[in-house]
Amino acid sequence: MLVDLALLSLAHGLFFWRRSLRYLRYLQQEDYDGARFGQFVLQRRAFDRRGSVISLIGALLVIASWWLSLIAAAALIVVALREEDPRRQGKLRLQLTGRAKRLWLTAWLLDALFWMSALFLLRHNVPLLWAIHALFCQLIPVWIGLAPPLLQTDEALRQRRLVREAQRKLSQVAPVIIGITGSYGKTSTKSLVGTFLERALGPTLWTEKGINTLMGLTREVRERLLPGHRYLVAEMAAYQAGSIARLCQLLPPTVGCITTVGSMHLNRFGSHEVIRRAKSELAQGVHPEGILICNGDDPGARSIAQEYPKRRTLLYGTDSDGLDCRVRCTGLVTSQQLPVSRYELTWQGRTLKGTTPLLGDLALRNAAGAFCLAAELGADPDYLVALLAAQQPVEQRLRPVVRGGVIYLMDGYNSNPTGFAAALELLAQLPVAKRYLMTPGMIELGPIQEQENTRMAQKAATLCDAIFFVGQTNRAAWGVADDRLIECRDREVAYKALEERLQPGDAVLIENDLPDLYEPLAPL
Amino acid sequence: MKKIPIGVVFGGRSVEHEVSVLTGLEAIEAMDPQLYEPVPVYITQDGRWFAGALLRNRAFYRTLNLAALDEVTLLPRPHMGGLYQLKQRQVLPIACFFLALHGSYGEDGPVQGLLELAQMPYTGCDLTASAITMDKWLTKSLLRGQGLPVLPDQRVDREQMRSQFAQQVDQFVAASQFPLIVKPVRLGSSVGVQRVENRDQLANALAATFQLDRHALIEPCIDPLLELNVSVLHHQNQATPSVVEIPIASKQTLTYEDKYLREGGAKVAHASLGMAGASRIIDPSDLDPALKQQAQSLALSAYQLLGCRGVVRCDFLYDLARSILYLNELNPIPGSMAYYLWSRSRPRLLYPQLIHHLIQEALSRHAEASALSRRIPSTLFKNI
Repeated sequence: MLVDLALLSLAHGLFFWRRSLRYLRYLQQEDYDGARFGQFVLQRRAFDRRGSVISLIGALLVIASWWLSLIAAAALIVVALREEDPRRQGKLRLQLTGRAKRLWLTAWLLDALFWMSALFLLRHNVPLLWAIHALFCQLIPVWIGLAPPLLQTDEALRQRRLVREAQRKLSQVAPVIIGITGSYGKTSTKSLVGTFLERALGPTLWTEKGINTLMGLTREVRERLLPGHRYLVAEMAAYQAGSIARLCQLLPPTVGCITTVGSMHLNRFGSHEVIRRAKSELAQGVHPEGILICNGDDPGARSIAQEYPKRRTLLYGTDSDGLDCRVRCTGLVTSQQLPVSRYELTWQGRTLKGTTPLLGDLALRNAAGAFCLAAELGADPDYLVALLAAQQPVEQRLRPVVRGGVIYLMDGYNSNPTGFAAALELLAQLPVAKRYLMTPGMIELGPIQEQENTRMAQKAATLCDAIFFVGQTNRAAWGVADDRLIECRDREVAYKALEERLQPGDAVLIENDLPDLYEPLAPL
Repeated sequence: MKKIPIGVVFGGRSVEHEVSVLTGLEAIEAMDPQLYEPVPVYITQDGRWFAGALLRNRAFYRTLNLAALDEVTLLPRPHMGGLYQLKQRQVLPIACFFLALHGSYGEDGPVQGLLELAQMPYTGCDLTASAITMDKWLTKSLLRGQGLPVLPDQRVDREQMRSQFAQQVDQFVAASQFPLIVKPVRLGSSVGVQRVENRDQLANALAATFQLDRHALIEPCIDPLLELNVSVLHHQNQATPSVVEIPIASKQTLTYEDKYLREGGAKVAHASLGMAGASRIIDPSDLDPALKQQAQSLALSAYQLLGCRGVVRCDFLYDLARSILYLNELNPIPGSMAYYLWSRSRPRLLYPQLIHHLIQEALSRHAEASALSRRIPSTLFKNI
């Protein structure tokens, strides 16, 4: 009796360990939001099947003979050990940060507490214990989802301590803080601004990749800000109303830059006006004697500039009136097999001409924003033009790669209607034999998601020779392009299909790479 | 006989990180197993040091699972006798360090300085020679001062270029004639070397160079050009030059791709072979013997003037139109230790022999340096 109880507990422990890590990955991708994680589990029906079936079979077997339950326990152990490891697999792997470990430990404690109670109460009724174990398999996401609210107070205290540390360091170093926000274009603009200031003006810290939350920025300041840094460029994301205001309390900006007010994350905000108000928190956070730089082509960003003017308020863009910095693409040329943009930039009455590996109107507009910001802070405009010639696009932001004579336009970051359309237009401009698109469509667009995906599918159908459509998330909307559509279960299948079709001289746009949350789930 | 543990150090905080890994692994594979116990020591791109048998496996560098390795460090404490293992808190014994680092933080003196402080023997040039030879401008200035033929150049400082960039570029244009070569002052493996044909290209090339180095060097571009290399080795108490090689460039100047990545053609470069895989003609029979001799003699002079040790490769530019040979640069830790030249030179040294020689030289140099007196009789504190 003791042997099978011990073996069942061992199997349960192993199963919990492996399965809970998988759920933890999804919780992490939902920004540790227990409610959103719960929605994900319910919507995607991410319920256990294997563990529950084995447990129920175990219950039947143990009625026949106690030792038969050993087979079920062994099967559970095998399933546990063969579980996908989210620390090593998946597009965004599970990062076992301190917070993730604490959440996991809390979930484990909850599970252990209930399991021990069940063990104690049902120790004489092993078949029922096996049957109840099926319920425990289903409870794993519940424990994972409950952990964040349970640790909320502890987490808030920890965060407050870390934020205070970061604030102390900031007051010692006292860099000029530049805040950048926008629905899209903020990571590319941040990277350009960081490079420009570092090369043209002095030591600059710019936050890594897509780090743009309070705790991410706190960590960057604590770990990477050095006493010699003169500038700090921070990307600031709005996940809800008030997020940017909180970031501005930590990092009060002297310079603010707003790239766009678009429809990304519309499902989180509810309306375009709420998004606009959230972005305007940066303009409000900039000191009245500071500098505000906005994308003049974007009505939302332009309206913020009018609403919250500063000592210097500047507009940049490509095609609207009253711009302080205007950029215009004058064509594409090829350099070492890769496409390169030629451009003309107007700044303070001067027209500067140059080339840059940055492609498409959106990228050039970001470059104009970064140029405007750096020049306003005192950088030499001619030097900035020379720097732009060597400025590679940020990874997965329309970065061209040539392999086997095929141009791959990598634009895998979470896509939006404007960015998607611009990428398609760039694909159309490339002097190539055939043009292909690989995409799962766009997500997080709330009520306009279907309509925008349909619009993009129609546009893509006119410009591309074939569309390799990935997954099921937006499949219905992309039905309008059925005659060009090649359906692929996931990215791996799509890449294989592409490889068979591509010939030297072709180009393919890889648009949008959905987080694991939107990928087909590996069997649970 | 007990094998001598040799710490083969490679990787490092450098754009030549990957090439260094290839040089290091080649050296480990070629080391005489009867005499030596190679201990791979890998320095990551962010400067952490690791040791472990897994490092011998080339496939490891695709995934870089550092958790499977022992993190180690070198403490600047004399007579530690090896690396300190951070987890085990014990010393991993090393008798001599074989340096296979290329580029910044490895070939240019910092690691050599640390090893000097730790009083550990190491192969190749010492701190001073490493620092000088990795600085192309300093090397050329010293050689020019001693009357050796080097190309004229201008060193450009990033700090100074930050204001009035256009005017300064115009000044360079006025003072030079296109085509020009722009390169970083302190990088090897031809990383960042650019040929420019006009003003805009010069401006862009300078800006691109400042992403890699704080200083850029502008030189005239020789056309038509023949590149020649000679290695020099300290052997039996005297510097000895190797045979001459002609590296084959795919374009007008030899690029990083030519040296490590090129494919196709009659001579196929293989990425896994490091510098040894580049396309070249060793000891070309149709090259003027007087030119070969001149290159060898200049290489020898440069090696001696700069106080080099171990194996060094001197790169030359030969102006075919004007028949002038220029010393271009010295590589204190050449790719693949230039063994492909020594296997065809006199004395003929195969790679295991070359490694053996470098280690023995390092041990004997260390013993000699340790014998130097660091104290003098002093009464300075006695009367305080």
